[in-house]
Amino acid sequence: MNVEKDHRPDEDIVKSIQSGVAADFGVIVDRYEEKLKRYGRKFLKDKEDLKDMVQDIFIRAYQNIQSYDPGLRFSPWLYRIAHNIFIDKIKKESRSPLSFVDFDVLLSHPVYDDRDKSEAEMAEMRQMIEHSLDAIEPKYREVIVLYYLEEIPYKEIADILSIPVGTVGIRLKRGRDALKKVMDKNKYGNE
Amino acid sequence: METNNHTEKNTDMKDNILTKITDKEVSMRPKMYFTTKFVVLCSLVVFILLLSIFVVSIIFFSLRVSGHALLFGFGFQGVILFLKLFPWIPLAVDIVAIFLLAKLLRKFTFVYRRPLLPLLVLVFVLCVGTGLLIDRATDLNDTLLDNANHNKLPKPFSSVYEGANRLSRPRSWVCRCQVVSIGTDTMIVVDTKLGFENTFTVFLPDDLPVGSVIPFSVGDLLYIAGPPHDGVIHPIGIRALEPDGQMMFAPQ
Repeated sequence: MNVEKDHRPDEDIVKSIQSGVAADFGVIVDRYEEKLKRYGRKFLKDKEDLKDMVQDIFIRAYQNIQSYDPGLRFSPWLYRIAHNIFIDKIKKESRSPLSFVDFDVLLSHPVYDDRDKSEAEMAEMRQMIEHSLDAIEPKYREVIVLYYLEEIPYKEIADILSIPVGTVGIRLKRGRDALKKVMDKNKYGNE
Repeated sequence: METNNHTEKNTDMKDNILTKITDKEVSMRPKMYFTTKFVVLCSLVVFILLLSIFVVSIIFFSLRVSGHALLFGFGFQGVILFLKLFPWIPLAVDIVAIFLLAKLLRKFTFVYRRPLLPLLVLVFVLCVGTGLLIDRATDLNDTLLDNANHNKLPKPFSSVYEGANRLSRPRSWVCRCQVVSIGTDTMIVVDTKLGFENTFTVFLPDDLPVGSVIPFSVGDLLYIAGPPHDGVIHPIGIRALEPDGQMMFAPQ
């Protein structure tokens, strides 16, 4: 099968894999390898072994493919596996482990989705991400990557990270503020 | 050139994965595996919920049978004593269980989409409410204690109930005593567990109106809190217990 020309939606391809057509898994690898590498490159500070990690993501996805419900969107399911593998890597390498209680998920936050942002704002945001993303906390870094670079909507990010939708919004806002602070600091530091 | 490299890398990974699949190095887990995992997760949630409710009901039961709940009526010193005698370890176990329960529940989509604090509060209220209801509205704990006393309850439940019913030693400032004689402003009482080796002279509390009749009779079971010194207790509070040793809720 020529996977390059496969126009079926992900969900149909996964249904076919679940029914035993293992070769179709190649289409999934084709579609998501670069996306997952980009997600990992931006989310992880240490980019070593990224290729191996992305391969692990696909292998884990294949092993657990029967747990996927084809009635739901496939990409959040795959990104969830990627998130778990990347978080494990951060935990292993971090001297100060991620906190047991995440205070962002304790209370409900109002959901403010700034979908109508201007192109100029988006460009500014991309510039900030390019220059300062590594300087902010992983939990803020991750939502920024998923939202601005992968263009995944709030609800799906909430499913990927297993957090309330309001928490996605608050993390994005805090992440943007942190990025701005870093940018300002760098700007004034250079002057 | 870069595009070619990309395609090459892409093919590398894809081929590598597909080869592993074809060679059976990597295989799909069957649906049954996930169904079993889900059932185990649900069972674990139910088990921890029941355990948590059981622990709460044991805490209430222990406070009831020991009479320590009465300490709240003995003023500030009584409250301090209550805090000292409170079964903190079961409470700590319960808090850990509730956190574990919340963590497990967050594996379910309908739970993680909501904030954690209301979930923790809901689980806590559910456990405390049900535990209290079981202890106060049913005689389950009393029946199980009775079974434990008659060696009809298997371990570790028998140990839990025996522990909950254990009487405090006199030196811990509280005793459950029986009145053996009554004087004008004192009573002689005997610790019901330790017998005549632990006989105390109890001065009546200062808040008892002068000239009032001592509101206890010989043979009454009392819960007395106060520092014992050379066989004499100046109590911070006394309350009568029911003949079976259970506390009375109505003040004397």
